[in-house]
Amino acid sequence: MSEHRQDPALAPASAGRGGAEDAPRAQLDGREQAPGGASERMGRPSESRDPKARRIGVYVCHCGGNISDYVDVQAVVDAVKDEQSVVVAKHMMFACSDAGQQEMEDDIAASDLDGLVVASCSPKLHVVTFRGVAKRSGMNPYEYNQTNIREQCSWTHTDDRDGATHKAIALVRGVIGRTRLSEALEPLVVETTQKALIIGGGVTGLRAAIGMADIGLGVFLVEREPELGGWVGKFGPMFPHERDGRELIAQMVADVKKRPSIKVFTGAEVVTKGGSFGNYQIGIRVSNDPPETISVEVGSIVVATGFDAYQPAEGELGAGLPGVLSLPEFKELVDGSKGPLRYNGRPVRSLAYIYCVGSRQPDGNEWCSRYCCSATAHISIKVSERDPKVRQYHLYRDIRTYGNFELLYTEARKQGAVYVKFPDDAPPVVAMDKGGGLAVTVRDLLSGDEELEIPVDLVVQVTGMVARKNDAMVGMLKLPLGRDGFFNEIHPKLRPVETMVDGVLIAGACQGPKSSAESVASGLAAVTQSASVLKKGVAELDPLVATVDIDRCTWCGKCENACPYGAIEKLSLNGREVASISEAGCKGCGGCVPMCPENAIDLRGYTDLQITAMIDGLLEEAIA
Amino acid sequence: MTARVDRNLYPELQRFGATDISSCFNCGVCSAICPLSVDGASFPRRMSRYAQLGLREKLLASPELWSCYGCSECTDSCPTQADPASFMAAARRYAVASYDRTHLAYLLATSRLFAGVFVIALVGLLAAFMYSVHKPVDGSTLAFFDFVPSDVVHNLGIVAMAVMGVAALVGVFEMVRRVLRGPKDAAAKTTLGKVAGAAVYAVGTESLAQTRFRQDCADETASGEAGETRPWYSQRWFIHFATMWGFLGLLGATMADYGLELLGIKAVGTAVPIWYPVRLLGTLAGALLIYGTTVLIVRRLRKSDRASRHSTTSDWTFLSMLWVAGLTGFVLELGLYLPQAPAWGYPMFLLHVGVAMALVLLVPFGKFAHVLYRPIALFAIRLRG
Amino acid sequence: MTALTAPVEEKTPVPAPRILVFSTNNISDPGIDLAGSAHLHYSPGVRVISMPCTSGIRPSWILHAIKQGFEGVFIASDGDECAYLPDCAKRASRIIAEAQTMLKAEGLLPQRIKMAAICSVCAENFAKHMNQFSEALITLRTAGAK
Repeated sequence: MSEHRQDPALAPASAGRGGAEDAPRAQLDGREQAPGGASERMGRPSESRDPKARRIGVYVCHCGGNISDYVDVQAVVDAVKDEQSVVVAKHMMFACSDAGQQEMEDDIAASDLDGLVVASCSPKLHVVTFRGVAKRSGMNPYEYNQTNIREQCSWTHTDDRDGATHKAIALVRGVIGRTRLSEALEPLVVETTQKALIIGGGVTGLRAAIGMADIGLGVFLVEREPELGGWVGKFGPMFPHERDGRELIAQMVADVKKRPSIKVFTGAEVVTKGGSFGNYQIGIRVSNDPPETISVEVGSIVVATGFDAYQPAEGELGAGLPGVLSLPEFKELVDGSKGPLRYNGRPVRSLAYIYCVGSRQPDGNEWCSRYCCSATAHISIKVSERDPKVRQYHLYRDIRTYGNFELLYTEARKQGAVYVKFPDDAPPVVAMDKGGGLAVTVRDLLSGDEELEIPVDLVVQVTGMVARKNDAMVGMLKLPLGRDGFFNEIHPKLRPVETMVDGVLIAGACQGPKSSAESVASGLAAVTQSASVLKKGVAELDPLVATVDIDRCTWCGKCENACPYGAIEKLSLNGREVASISEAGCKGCGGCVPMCPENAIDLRGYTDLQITAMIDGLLEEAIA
Repeated sequence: MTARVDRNLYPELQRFGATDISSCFNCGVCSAICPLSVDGASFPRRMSRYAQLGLREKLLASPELWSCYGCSECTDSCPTQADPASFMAAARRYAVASYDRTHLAYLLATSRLFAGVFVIALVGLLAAFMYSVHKPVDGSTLAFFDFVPSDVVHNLGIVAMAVMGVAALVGVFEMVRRVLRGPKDAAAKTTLGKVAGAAVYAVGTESLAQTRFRQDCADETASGEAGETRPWYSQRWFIHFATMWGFLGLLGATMADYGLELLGIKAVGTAVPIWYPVRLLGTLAGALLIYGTTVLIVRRLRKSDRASRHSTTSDWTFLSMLWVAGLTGFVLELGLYLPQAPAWGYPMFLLHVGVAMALVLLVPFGKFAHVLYRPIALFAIRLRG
Repeated sequence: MTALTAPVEEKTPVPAPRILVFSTNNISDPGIDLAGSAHLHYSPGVRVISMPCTSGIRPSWILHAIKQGFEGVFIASDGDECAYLPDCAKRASRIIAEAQTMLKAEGLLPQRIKMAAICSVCAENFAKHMNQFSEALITLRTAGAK
């Protein structure tokens, strides 16, 4: 759905339903056009339109030869040109080219088309382009539909020209069936509050707050702990630039204080969320004495609640034995002391790091936290710098010091760190040694699967990041959780900080393991994303939402239960109880559609009639 | 069997000159490039791994240490500049010191000061002892065994041989008991024929004939450019071959000379014609030894080829003693033919005998020990198959 | 164009079963696109309808598709990746169960419906599923099953 929401061709909010006002092409053609004529046409509800009387243009793209080399495009055009309601049917070399678009615009004007079909590449690539064609020609952009005869036809049936051609005909018929029943729709327009809520005062939240303020947005920064700073605020020198985490946070906190548009709440939690996209009402409980709840209004919410360090279970790889520490505990030990390393008053002369503790486990946490290999190489160097005689054994499965962090790995080895690769299915065993120290038994794949017993003073379990449990907040904000417990963005590449809940953004390690640099980058992405919506003062929402046929609805409540976004509620209407779906609250997933025993719910763009017509179209193979 | 890691091994090896292997990440390029590391052998890589991990006994039980002739091709190919060739040499010094139970080898290899003082003192002591029993000579030509009675020299030599022999036996025992604990092919039967074959191969083919050094080890070009090889008399194998056979020839000539005296054919130390067989052998062998050691020393001084880039106390001690022993012997031979006994004749004789005996005494304690351990290691590897 | 008036069945000795696939706009449809970009082959009997989320499929659509001539319906679900509904796979399973009941009531085999998670890069996985499902449907056809 990404291309729907970010459609740059959509009218600005003020355009309302009158898409025709900015349709210069139609006017240039000099056609007679009564004021509001186009609006009227587009405003017609589909129910009142006879699908058979629609005027649809069908364009089959060669895509150079990507399609036409494997599909007989002329045969496709011939097969559908006489279909009911098809007024224009053509094939063209590149539908997306300027010439192609111009030809379509001319046809729409000349033949008074009210539906547009392009059979070409994946809709992911060009829906925006062709909706633009429709819009420029005075046609409602939602009257356009695309079918994919390249990725899902010509390219996958390069060995079967007849089969591909038959399939292309079926696909085009399917989309004609859908377009006959298409509706003119307008994006939902809402006014937005130019303030943001940031949850989490770690490095991500702090940087995002500064960014928001500098871009001219008001900020409410909520931190659960009494102090700002999060994990980074506890760290000493961090890779790759040796910048002290404590100093870094101190500077950021000072920067926050300099900005009056940032209001900081520490020892506070977000407890309620009301309203909808653009205007959320947020209740913040501050643990004053007595505790009070403050209400604020924001246009967007950035969740930057960070991660928890994995806590090994008692006995897991020696956890619980004296001298067995997790990586954060060891970092604290190293950062909090000077000179040769000591633990419990005794000098540390040797230590073993066990990697991937609680990470990359087939039956547990399957993910790699990615930062830990580099962090461990870094701390190993720190230890060597303080006492080059300390022998450090790194027991690992794979080393993932990506990018320039490879240099840390090389440096650690040069300082004498010994890396021991053990088999995935044979993790090291940690036990007490005779002398009171620890002994780690491990198989070393690099010396011919030799089993080693390494006597050490300390064992450091290299633990990764796990999702921080925060069920109340997740429930309140309707945050989508992945199986790993981290928050899910819409698309990791294309929409990396947005969630399915409009205006609720995620940043930093709450969406998956990240280094502090990566966390800050995503925090700033959330700033940009917020600004792009809030700075305009108005925002548009995709109109492809669920609708209720109130005549059929008998209010059983099943749809309300099916909606995790709380977009459906009971409404009393003329003495009847019926379901009401909030257009701003609905995410357009369609999850409520099959739950309705009365078939009273339809998802716009995917209505019962449309899908049924598509299925029928997909089966008609021979020329009618 | 679980091997216990010794965190002190690596710092110890560093004292023996293994300074770079911490950067080794065990990629195995060294083993792959090594022309001798074939048929499933995995050196230098595995040796380096043992050292990094601190598997002391595994390292000391590895006869592969002695397979290497130090061509340094691995060092040139190493992607992390871990210098595996220098490491192998250091590991051999470490092995020699570990097989020696007196700690002498350890001090000789790790302390330049100690090695220098000790060798000079030992030579001086031996010379002083002989001088203490010398008799006045006034002949017009050199008569060494009138100066120091031949009995004294020979008996001292026999004592030195005996002391060395005991130390050598202990060292060999220490090595063998470890090697025997190494991997064995349980299915393979050790027959007498196999043992004999392996012995012939180890001592004859590979050691005396230098077959693998000559045929398999990569030599380098004089100019360092690819494609050209040095003339045979300049190649590493031949220099080593000349040094080895020069030494063996001189040893043989000395023994034969003594044998002739025991048989009453000819007294030792007397001038005989140049074509006299023993004399001829001694002269040729001496020339070979001087040629070999001189080239070795010059190359190490100049660091002119890759195998001579790094020199340690052990290298210098051994080479300089060989060179002095060879040169003084040769000069003394010439002296015998001089019409007038030169003034330097008798001091040089004391120096020659002192250095030669010290050389013998120190066989199990320094670089010379490879003459003991290499054939045994090659034998063990050959027997394993 | 005469060739096109001939049914597909004449082209190959065993005509390819027609399979309707329901995919999702964000996850499985990109995966199916990728199969095409990689020029992986599966039967041209496969036709795809992409939805926001497989939780929105009406069981009646599945029944309709099979009664109208599709030999099988394949739900390319999001697994656990769905950005809308964390329980979307469970919901799709429920929809399939309901559709299978409807099929059985019509005397049709419930094996005509299959579901598998297809991720946005699961191109090979999708092609494999299509080939296996085609074969299974041919077997059903040969056995004379409805």
